[in-house]
Amino acid sequence: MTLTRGLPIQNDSDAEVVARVLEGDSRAYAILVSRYRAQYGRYAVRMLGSREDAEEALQDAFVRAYRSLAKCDDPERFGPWFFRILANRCRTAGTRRSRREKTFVSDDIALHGASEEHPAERTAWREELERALQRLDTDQREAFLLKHVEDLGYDEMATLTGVGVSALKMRVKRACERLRLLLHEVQGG
Amino acid sequence: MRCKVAEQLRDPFIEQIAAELRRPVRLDPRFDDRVMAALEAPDVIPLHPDRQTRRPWIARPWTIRVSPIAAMAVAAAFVGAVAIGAWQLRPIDQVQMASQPAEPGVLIPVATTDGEPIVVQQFTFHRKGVKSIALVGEFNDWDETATPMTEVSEGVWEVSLPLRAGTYEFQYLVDGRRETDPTLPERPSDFGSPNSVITVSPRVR
Repeated sequence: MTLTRGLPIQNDSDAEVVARVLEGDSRAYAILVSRYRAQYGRYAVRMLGSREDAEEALQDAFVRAYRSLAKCDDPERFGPWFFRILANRCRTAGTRRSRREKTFVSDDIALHGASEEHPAERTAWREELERALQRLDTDQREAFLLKHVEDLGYDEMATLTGVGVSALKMRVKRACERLRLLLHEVQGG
Repeated sequence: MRCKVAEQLRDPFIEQIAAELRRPVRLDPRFDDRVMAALEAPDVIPLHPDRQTRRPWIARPWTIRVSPIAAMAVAAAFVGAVAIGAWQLRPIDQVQMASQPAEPGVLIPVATTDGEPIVVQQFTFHRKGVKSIALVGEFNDWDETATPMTEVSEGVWEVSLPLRAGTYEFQYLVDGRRETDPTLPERPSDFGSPNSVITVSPRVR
């Protein structure tokens, strides 16, 4: 199925695409998938630590968003609305995973792109970073990613997560401390 | 959604980490096609509590959407049941189901889609003197508005959901406050209060 061919991805606003979907043009939803897949896929991969888990959560979030599209009060801000659904899915998936034995599997896809002057060292650093990130508590990892990778403000994070600003600041602080500790241990050891 | 101003001075070490994590990731090239295909797949059937009446749930009409294959499977099961003299089955509206006495957690298989059974899971919560109770959990993405419960008699709140077999974490939202079900096991959550855990299985009592 070719989904985006001929669809004016760049020209239609989110609100226009949402309106088309709600009017019955379900194929137009592919525009939104294409538009937000990369940005939020990155968050899911970082949050869950594997491409497979991330794709599953991302797909689930897109399906849920599609089925709830009529509830999107501000279609022009489909992205943030979708992100909230995705964050919930990642949280649920992360909680389930945390109960299983944690076995970190290096994700060569998520870590692709090693290059520069010292590719071996660079790749090793990325693997250690991914490993350290997955060793954070779920709520700390979520707060760190939202703050430092997605560049959200604390108010936006509070809206997204339903957690108070003070608690979020504490989670970010603790995440930073733990990452520093874990990565310094690696570098020092 | 982007932060306009850095809200705190950034540590160079943390910034180095963040820069690394901002690198793009590569997803399956067929991801978009998979999503669009998934949109057409059957999933949880939306059932809403009857807000117009206070009749017991078992007396209310239910509208259940099933795929043609599932409908044929249900019809075949029904014919088979009749053929072997299962005259005890009682009809409910258009879909034949094995109805059971009203009790918390009763499970009613209603359809089979892509090999996974869907069962109707009834949730009952007893609380007098409250204005609203809703169900929030993994099955509705913890959406506080998605699954309101209905007070079917004084202090008895109910809602039924069609769910795939599996284990679900959930809470009751009682006048805006999260509570667990005292009759079910709990699991700690990463977000403070524990969750109740219910196991939905396609068994018939």
